[in-house]
Parts: sequence; structure tokens; C-alpha cells
Amino acid sequence: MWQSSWTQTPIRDLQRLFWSCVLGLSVLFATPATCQSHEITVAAATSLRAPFTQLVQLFQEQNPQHSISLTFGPSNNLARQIELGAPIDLFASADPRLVVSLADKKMLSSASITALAGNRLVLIARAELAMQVNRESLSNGSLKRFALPNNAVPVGWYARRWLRSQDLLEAISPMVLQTEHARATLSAVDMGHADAALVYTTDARLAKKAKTVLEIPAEEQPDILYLAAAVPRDDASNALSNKFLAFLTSDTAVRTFADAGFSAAPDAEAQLW
Amino acid sequence: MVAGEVWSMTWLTLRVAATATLLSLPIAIAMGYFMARKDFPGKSLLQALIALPMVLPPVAVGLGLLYLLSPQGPLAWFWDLLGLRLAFTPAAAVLAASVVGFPLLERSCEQAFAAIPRRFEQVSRTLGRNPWATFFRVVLPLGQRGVLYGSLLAFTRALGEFGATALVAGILPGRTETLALGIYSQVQLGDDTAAFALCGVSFLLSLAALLAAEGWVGREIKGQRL
Repeated sequence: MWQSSWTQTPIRDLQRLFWSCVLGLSVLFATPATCQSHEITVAAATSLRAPFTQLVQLFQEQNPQHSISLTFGPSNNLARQIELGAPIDLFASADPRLVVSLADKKMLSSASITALAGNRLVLIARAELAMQVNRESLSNGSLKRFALPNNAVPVGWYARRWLRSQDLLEAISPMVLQTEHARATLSAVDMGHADAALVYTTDARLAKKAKTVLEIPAEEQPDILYLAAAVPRDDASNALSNKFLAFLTSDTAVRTFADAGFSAAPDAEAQLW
Repeated sequence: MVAGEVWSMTWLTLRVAATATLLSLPIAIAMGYFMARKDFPGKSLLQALIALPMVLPPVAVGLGLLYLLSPQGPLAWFWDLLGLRLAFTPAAAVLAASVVGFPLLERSCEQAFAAIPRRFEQVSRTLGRNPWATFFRVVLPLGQRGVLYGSLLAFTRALGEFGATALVAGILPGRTETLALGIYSQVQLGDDTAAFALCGVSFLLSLAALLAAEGWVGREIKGQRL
């Protein structure tokens, strides 16, 4: 009676459990998630999402033997991941300072640094407020929430530079709704969580509801420059990274960036680093 | 967001949660048995330390793990020695899920073992079984309900793990982007349809795991007379 209820049956159960654990673990480990050498991971600023998704697709069509996986995030976050040894092989940043600082630490190859494109800031507002929001409403207290990423996120840094140059930063500070990255800033206004925000003109085009209310004049624009560079790896990965970097400056890529609303990479600025 | 991505995300989530649970299981069983049977000075402190990852903000756990895995951290020599870079890989997601799920599993094992009268073990020993055989043939079978229940709790906790994983594994699609991280990034992108689709999948997974727990444990209660 006892014999059968808690010695034999449970043991068979346990043996079954043990072997299913072993089987389970071996199945889980047998399907490797690590990348092979003919595959690279490209990490790009969220504002590059649309053109990069297209470009990777084109590149893969032309080079079916290669495989590129894409990940997007705020550039500062991606830079930190690279610094901490994340399996990222190519970095495209909205803030040139991040690329330069990683190259100084030898975590990006300086020789591979490539200027991709430029961008511009625009002021957007909730559709309902689109008629009322202008430069003045940023300081006269008529807005309640202003979506703005923190200073480390490229768009947060660029936006603050413009706000400071216009003496608007202090008025804005109490109503900041902190967002994660460029695209999240747009969606905060799109969803009506924030009244207004400064976003890239390329993101403003993707707005579902938000309206562009002010094009920042060229002379007030912060210099927004996208740089890409490769993380030094083994020869096969380096070759693929360089091939993709070259593709990013090809005519096709230049056209894709222009179609998405990016401006040409300013040559003079490209020499800054 | 296409269906294929949702499936690969779901499969990744299941793999990460299952690996995390299976890897913590032997350690939790050993530790649970030790804690259930031994009294020593500082035991309460050790128990509190084990439970800590369960109550700390997961982001704090993630930061701790990131520091330990970082090539600039105090264990850098160790990772260099092994030639391993674990941060921002699926292994890091597994590690994060293990650490936050471990207290649930260990505590459940400990309580299950503590409820078993020591007399059974003593009888087994006097009948000539060595301590190992006694453990595997008497203690573990009697405690299996707690062990299984703890495993399911840890598994469901791992399915939903977000804070620690986001920090230590990042959000790399196809590599470390589990359902919870996927929901977050879709919300950030303003794609609510995709976010809700992923929520639906998470809901079904969690419901299935909880139903399994109820069915399994309920059956065990009826079958076990102790």
C-alpha cells in the first residue's frame, strides 16, 4: 500500500521528470541562438528604422549569401551595449560624439567611420492643438506636457540645444514627459500623452495624428549627423561589415535616405571627428 | 510586425523561461533541502538574501548582473579566461530569468522538504539506504509536489520577466527580445496593434502555465495521502 503510493510510482514519475528535463535542456541547447560568421548584427538609432529596414532588405536581395539582423534603440543605449561587449557588429548613431568616443576606446574601427545622412528638427503638436501651438506657446504656459527624451539620447540633446538657444529650456523643464527615444517621442504626441515635442523631420512624416507646427529655420538647427562604424571582429565579419558600410553610401542608399526625408551628410561636418 | 516574428518571439520566450527553470532546479532542490534540514547561525540572514531578488526592483537585479557580466566589472578576469561575453546574449536573458525566479523555486522546495517527517529518512537509513538513495527515493518523491509547483511558479515568473532582462540582455530582436520586451518596444514605437497581439500571446501562455499548475498540483493533492 505505502510501497505503491510513495515509493514506486513517484520514482517512475521522477525518472520521467529527470529524463524530460535532460531531453528538454538538450533540445533547448541544440537550437543555437548565436550568430555565425557570415551573419552580422547592425544596431541603429530608432530614427533610422524606416530606411535601414529597406536597405537591409535590398542588400540581402543583392547578397543572398549574407544575413544581417537589425536592432534599433536610442543611440546612447546601443553605444553602452557595445561598450559592454554586446554581440553588435555595426553601429549607426544619431549622435557623432558616441561613435567618436567608442572609436577612441578602440571599440569601433576609426577607419570604418562613415557619414550617412543629416536630419532636421521640427516642432510637432497634438492634432487638436495644431492650430494653437507655435514658438510662443512653448513659453507662455498654454502647454501642459512636452515629450522630451533625456539629455543622453541624441534627439533629447539636439532638442535641448535648440531650446537653450531660444531661451525656452527653463519654461519647458517643468512640463517634460520623459520618453525613451526619437520614435517614442513621436508616439507620445501621436497618442495624445503629450501636447508637443521636438522630433526629427523624418519621424514627423510617420505621424499618425500629430501635426508639424513649426519648421525650425536652417540657421537655428543643431548639426544633426548620422555616423556608422564597424566593431572590429574576425576577418569574415569585418569584410561583411565593410561591404554593408560601402552599400550605405551607394547611390541606392543615398536615394533611400533622401526619400525618407534625411538631408545629405554635410561634408564639412563629416570631418569634425 | 508579422506573424513569423510573433512566433519566434514566443518560442524564444518559452526557451528562455524553460532553460532558466531547468538550470535553477538542481541548485534550488539542493539549497532547499539544506535549508530545510540544517540549523546554523545566520540562517535567517541567508534566507533573506536568497529571497532578495524576488523583492528588489528587477531593474536593480539587472544592474547588478550587468556589472558582474561586464568586461570592466570585477569578474572581467573570469570572463576573459573563459573567452565569454554574456551580456546582451540569450544566455544573459536566461541568467536574469533564473535569478528572479530562483527564490520562488527554492522557497517552495524548502517548504516541501521541511514538511516531510525526518523519521522517514531515518527509517530509510536503518534499512540500509545511503544518504543519496534516501534523498532520491524518499525525500524527493515526497516533496515532488512542492518542487513541481515551485518550478511552474519560477517558469511563469520567467515568462513575464522584464526589468532585469531589459538591462542585462537588451532588446535584440530574435536574440533576446522576449514577449515582455517586445510589448514594451512596440508600445514605444506607437504600434499598439502589435503590442496588443503580443499581450494576447503572453496572456494565453500564462493562462496555460497556471492551468497546468492547478491541474497538476490538484491531481497530486488527491493522489497523495500524507
